[in-house]
Amino acid sequence: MSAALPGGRFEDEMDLALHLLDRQVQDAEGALVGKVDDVELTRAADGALVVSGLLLGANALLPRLWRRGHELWVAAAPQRPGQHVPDRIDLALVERLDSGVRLRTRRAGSAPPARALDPERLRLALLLGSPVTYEGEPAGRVIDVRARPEGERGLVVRELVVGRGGPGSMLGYDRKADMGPWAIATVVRLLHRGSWVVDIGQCAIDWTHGSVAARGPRRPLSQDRERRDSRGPGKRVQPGED
Amino acid sequence: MKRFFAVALGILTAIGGFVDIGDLVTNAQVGARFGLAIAPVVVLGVIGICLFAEMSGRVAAVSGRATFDLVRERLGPRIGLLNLAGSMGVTFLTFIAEIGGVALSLQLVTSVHELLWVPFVALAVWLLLWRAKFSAIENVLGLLGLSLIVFAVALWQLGPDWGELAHQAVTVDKPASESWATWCYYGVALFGAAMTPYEVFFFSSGGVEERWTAKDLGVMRANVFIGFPLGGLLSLAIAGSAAVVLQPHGIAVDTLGETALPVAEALGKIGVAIAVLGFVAATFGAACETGLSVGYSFAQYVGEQWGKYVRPQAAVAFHTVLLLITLAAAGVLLTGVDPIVVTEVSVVFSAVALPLTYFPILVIANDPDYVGEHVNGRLTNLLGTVYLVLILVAAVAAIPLMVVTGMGQ
Repeated sequence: MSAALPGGRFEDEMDLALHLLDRQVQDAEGALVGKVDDVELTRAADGALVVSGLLLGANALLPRLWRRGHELWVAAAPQRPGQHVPDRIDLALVERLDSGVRLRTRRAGSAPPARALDPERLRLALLLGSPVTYEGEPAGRVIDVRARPEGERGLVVRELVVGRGGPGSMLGYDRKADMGPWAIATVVRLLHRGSWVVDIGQCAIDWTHGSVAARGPRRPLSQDRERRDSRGPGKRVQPGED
Repeated sequence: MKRFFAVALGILTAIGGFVDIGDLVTNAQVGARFGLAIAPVVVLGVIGICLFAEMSGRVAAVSGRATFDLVRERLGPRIGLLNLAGSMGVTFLTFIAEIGGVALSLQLVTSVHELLWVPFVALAVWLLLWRAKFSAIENVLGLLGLSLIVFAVALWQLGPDWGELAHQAVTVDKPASESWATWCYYGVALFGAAMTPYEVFFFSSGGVEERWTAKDLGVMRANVFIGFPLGGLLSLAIAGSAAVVLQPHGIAVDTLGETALPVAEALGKIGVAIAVLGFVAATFGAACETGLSVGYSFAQYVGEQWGKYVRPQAAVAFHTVLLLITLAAAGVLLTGVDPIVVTEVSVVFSAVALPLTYFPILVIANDPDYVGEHVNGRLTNLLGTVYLVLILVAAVAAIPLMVVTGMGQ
């Protein structure tokens, strides 16, 4: 594991919507900081998207709940340059991710406002739920985004999961073959029988309008389930215990 | 020995904490009208709440995540928000009913009108939520709530025809004067009263407050699997004593005082005094639990600091919500609305809101990412699926039944 990456879930391939988004953030002493309302992705020199920070607060959550509402909120005070800016926790401050995110520091001052204008920093929520075309034909929406730890580069986005329904609507049933109860697993898999996975290198992402054009080889999501055995996030450490 | 006391205390408070205004009123109403003919639904509800509470308690102990953390994590912020609005709404309704219940109980003792009691009760509830230690609220009120055992004693003293009562309970029949629609309506109400969602919010959030870990699973299960069924027996005793004393005379239960009538007949003044003490403790305890549950749900959805384990200054949003809902509940009651009607509505809407939180908990109790090796076993999943269907049916049927029967008229 790279020293740059936090522990727990971050040591393994993860689905950003399922495993990181909306998780509770706790500081080093166990005090509650907020939710992971959005995730900041930074475009590296070679175009790869790297997870660089957590975005918190109403300015990260409101666009996900009701985009128009957020636009009105920003328009309500156009003189403020920071009106649309969420709070940001740098990934370097994160100690580990299990059922929640735990920081290395105390919460006071841990989440300064994100930089207002930076074309290389993107929001995960813009990508999640975007309509996808495959070889020019409409083919569903982005329901999850897969990232892998790659040494010094950090956590790099590698694949998109595309299908019907909203982000995270697989409810985790794609990660483990024998997760029960049988009836729910069957229904969820039936609804997502047409879902597929594509390498992000084969996708052209339009960040302004929020759409993705994919081409080239893709594989059904159901294949992944069979070959993967999730190891889980490991033992939970109570803050102040280790 | 200390551990034994901890387990015993947990079980006793679970018994006392199980019964609240919804159980008191609904069970007495149903007993007075149907005898024990709808009793199987109480059993069904108790098994359901055991299942639901055990799953969420297990997730809370192993992963440290309480109910509304999970709702948002698994269902996303949008559906999570609808879910929050529904669950908070129902829990707030229950909170109003509990505060009204305390006021009505105090009216029974003092003959001072309940509206005069409401502001003082609301103030007392808020002071407890603000100042008192979590364990003090839970233990003292839970133990005092045990005085409701007087209903079981009353039933035994009344010396009913046990065979007849058992026959009613087993045959799932109805009195000729009642229709099957009202039977179903009260069935849903009893189900909602036994499986009120706040019990689970409170139980799992309490587990996080008390820093349960996987080591506490045994104690948690003892509380659930012994405490809740015994609480359910208390509910049945209330229904049974109403069936013995009130049903033959055709007395319907429209006030809290009528709930205590069977105890008066069997045990006289002393019995009534104990029963009313039980009413006050049970409704007061439940008022604290529902109030906290509203605050827990909100804070867990937005990620704010919550809990009684930190000073109020460290959990500002949480305590602001507690203050606002206490004011709002007092305001609603001061309009003169009958707390018994609020109770009847709240138990039915509890049944409506139940799937919102039951479903995500059922999914996450199966997810090794959260609970590791402690995922649901086959039996739990079989029961869990059966109950998912039952809960959905009850939720869908509740409002149509309420309309068709004119709230059980």
